[in-house]
Amino acid sequence: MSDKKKKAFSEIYNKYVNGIFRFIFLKVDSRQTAEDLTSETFLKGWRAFKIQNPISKIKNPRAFLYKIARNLVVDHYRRKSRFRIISIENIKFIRDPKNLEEKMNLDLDMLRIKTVLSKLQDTNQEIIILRYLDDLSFSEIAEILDKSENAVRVALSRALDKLKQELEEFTF
Amino acid sequence: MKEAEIIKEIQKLKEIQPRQEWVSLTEIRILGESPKISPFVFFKPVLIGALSLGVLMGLFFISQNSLPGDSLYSLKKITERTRRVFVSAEKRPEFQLKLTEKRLSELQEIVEKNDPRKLSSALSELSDSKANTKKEISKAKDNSNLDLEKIAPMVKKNIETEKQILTSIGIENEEEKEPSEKLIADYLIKDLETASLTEKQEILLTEAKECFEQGDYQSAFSKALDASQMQYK
Repeated sequence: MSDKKKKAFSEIYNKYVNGIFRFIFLKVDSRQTAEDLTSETFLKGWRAFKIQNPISKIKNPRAFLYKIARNLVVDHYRRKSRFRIISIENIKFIRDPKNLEEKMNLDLDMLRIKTVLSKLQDTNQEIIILRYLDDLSFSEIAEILDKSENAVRVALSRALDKLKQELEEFTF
Repeated sequence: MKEAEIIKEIQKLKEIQPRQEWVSLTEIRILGESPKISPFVFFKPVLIGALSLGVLMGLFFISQNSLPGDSLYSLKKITERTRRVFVSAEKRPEFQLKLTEKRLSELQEIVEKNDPRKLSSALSELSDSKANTKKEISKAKDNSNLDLEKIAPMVKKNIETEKQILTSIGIENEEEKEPSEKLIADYLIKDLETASLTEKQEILLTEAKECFEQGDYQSAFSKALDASQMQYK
């Protein structure tokens, strides 16, 4: 395997690993899961990257990686939904829905915004994360979410309004 | 609240970062080695290299006892994935079934230690492992590589163990669209249909087929497995 390709992908990895991890972490329930899915994202990305040729060249590696990450999170929740708790009386383990202990020592401010963000619809949540945390352009976000740029702009505006409303009403 | 203030709030989440040692280890796992390593590494002091290797090996060794949710668990998974690379295609279903058995034993340990924080991770790991097992079994079947005699009892054991653990903590595994027992029951039945059978085996095969048609895949699997095991003895 060419060192050139490895080096190129290594640069991509180091550039985007924090953003991809954060994107996934904000959508799943534990650091462990976020690490596993992030690792899987880059593994799939690397597999695609090393076989690309002039025809199948990945034009935007960042958007490509976010698309993979997004799909992996969907698959993760699809698999998880198979387990269902049948009886409250028989439960020895009660999963804390806020799952505070699994968070990465988030301070109260971060926890507040994260909790409020999780109340938005998935797509709106993603648009906010991609735009304001990962600084993606509207065209990149449109590519990742398979929407038009205009639709992304409209959705972002609505998401911010909803977020504002939730923040103003929020209490722990 | 103004838009600028909301954006400022959101951007506080930029502080969420992955662990640096995980970032480095994951890069090594994906790319095989860090491309940043200089080709002239043999010029570096041997002691530093040996020490790093020793620490890494120590960490890998310690990680083998870690459980889902532990900080070293991802190292354990890295070791398993690395081992998988060296497993032949024919042996992959068996390898994957043994990993599922491991996930079950981790789940059992978490249940016994009464540690609810790790339960979600353990269930997620189990689910992933089962999905990978099904994939490997399907692949092996498509390539006519499936060693039913070895695989079927392992599947049965895992199903029984899983049921026992989940029942003990009041969790029900919702019906999967393509449960493992349906897959294996189907393979076993087709395998038996091409073999010459004793009267007892014929009866079991007929019962297995009836159960399969009624959607009782667990019974179908159990009866087909009993019939098969008579054949293999």
